[in-house]
Amino acid sequence: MRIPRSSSQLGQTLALSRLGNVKWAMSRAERVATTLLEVARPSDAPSEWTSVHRLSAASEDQAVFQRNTESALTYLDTADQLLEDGADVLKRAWEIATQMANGTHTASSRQAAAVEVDSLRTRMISIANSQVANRHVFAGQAMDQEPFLDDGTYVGSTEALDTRIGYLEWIQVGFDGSQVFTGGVDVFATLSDLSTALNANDQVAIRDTLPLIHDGIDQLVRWREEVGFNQNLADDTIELTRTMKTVLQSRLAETVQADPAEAYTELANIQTGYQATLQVIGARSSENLFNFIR
Amino acid sequence: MSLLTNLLIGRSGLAAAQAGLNATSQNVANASVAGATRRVALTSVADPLRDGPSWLGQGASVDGIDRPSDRFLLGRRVQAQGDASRAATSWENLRSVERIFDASVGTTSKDALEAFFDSMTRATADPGDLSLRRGMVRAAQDLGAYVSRDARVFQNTLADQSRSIQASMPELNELLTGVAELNKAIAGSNTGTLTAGDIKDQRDRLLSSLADLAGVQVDVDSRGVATVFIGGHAAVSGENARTVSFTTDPATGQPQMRLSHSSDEVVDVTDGMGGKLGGMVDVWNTVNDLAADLDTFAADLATTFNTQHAAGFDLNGNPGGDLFSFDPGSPALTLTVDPALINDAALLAFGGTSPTLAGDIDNLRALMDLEDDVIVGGTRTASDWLTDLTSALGTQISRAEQVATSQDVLVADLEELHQNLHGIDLDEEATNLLLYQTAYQAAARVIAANDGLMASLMELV
Repeated sequence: MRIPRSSSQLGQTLALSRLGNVKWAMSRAERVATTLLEVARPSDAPSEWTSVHRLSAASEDQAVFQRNTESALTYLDTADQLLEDGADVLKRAWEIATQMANGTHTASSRQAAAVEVDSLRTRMISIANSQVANRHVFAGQAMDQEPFLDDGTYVGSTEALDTRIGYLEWIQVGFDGSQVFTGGVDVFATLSDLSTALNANDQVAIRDTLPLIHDGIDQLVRWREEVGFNQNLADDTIELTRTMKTVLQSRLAETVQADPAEAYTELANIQTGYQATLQVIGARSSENLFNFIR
Repeated sequence: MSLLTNLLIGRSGLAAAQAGLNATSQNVANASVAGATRRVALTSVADPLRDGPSWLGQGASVDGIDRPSDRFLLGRRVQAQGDASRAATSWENLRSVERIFDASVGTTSKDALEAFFDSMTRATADPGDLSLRRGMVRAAQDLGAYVSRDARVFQNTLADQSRSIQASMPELNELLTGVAELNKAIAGSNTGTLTAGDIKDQRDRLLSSLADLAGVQVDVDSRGVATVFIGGHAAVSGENARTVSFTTDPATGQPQMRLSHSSDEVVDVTDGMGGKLGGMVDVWNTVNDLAADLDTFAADLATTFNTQHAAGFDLNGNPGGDLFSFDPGSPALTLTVDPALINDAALLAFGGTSPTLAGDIDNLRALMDLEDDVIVGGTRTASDWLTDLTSALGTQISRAEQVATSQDVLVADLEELHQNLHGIDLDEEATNLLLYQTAYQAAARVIAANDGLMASLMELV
């Protein structure tokens, strides 16, 4: 049997090769341990790189959808409050009309009531022209300008304003004021008619405004329901995007992130291996027959 | 047989032991010299002389100092070394390119693309808001900046590879000439002497350097003369070396290496080149493909978005201008946002009709739809194209790492085999030292004994 030679050159070559391998492994383990990222570069996991990108992009998308929905909710909450205020205005007008339709009131008391109704109309115009962050809620897409003139004429847009809150989902945040305030019942005209009837001390005309005011209240309540539906949709979407973001980030973490304990243990193991390799190399190169020849 | 013959036999023993000691000394001295192989004293029993009915021994004969070698193993080692060097070069250089796609280091062009799409979604929250519009312009600027940065990295890498290849030509030609000169010396002194062995060691070191640099193939004939091939073409034949020259393809800019076959004939050996040079050519080709893909991405993305943007109307009710601008000669390198939009984000054409309402986002919706449309290369979405580009690079690097690792193992195995057969083992040399020392002492004793006998005889006279 031929005994293979064990040359010092071979020892050196193998030692360098082994040290090189251990150093490379150590460098990678250090990178993983310091960044806690198992997959940071395409070559770390070429086959999973596409899904890593998709998960990462989808997670970012959810963050944007969530932010847009939260912003939309601010407008919807304001619209809801404004419609409630509008309904309150009409309720007060209905109370006045009901009282003044009674035959016991005098012309002067009705004229005094007409002043209040004029003030309610002004308040209603103000509600219809309200804005959030320089954006008029009831102007449709013409959100940068007041949608109603003082005489109640609508100059806004009839196109709804939508915000994207999902890949295929949009939510309405700007409303066509002509539909809300003058769609079925023209609330401004109704209030004007009531005021005119009160000033004219016309009991019949006052009574005639009552069903219109009632329908006007119903109209604003229906739009409030519409806004409420969108508020619920926004609430659900915020919850959904949060959940989706968590799920996506969790899946991303499973693919990309390293387990800290595992990463540190791996690094410690490789460092121990490196020291052991050095010791073995040191022990190996120090022994040969020449040491024993005297 | 005479005492004088015995003295001569003793002297031959001394010479044999001396030759052994000589080889051992040479081996011990070169034990740590890279590329040195062991020497063996070639001794044999000297031819006996006929003396009547019997044969008389003539001692030992020194035939020379041999350098055991395996020419087929040498060829395999050179081949494997070249392959390993090629894969390692490719792996190392591509890894440096890959840094631009490292998510742990910073933003990548893919991140910038996603941020650009997200900025459009964000703008739907308040399309008339100038800060959101400026956010979209900034995101588009970032996208252009990161794509340009990637293109610059690609361009610099291509230039680096070309420069490195060109700079290696003198070294390559020097090595080829060196092998040819050593071939001449080996052919002229192939007598099994120590000198020939040293020359072969030198030649093998040059072959190793050649393998590392150019991944050559080697064929050593029975005389020990090496023929060196590059891509199947003889670059060194006997004592003649050919010259490799560098040029670039005028159409593609690809580095090319040409072997001068005769005074008027050159052969393109670029594809057959291995080693570091082959690795650099591989890197050049890979990065060139990536750069072309990035150019396609930049040009198609910009053109598609510009077309759609021009179909809309800005906040002032005017038709949209270009969203991106780029030089068609180098789209990725020059991709940026149209300067007019940088100055005034109101010029972003979100509206679908004129006069434009602040909340009109019909064209913004159309721009957003481009995220899911096949707009790059006629086959992929913008996002998928960039993902494919990076994952193709990742696959190349991963494959190069696997090849480099497996080739390293093969090189180590062949080196181990070579060292097992021809390496210098100090334990073996120490044993030989004892053997030759003892043989020398014994031969000296033989001479001394014979000398004593001769002296006794002389006293009788």
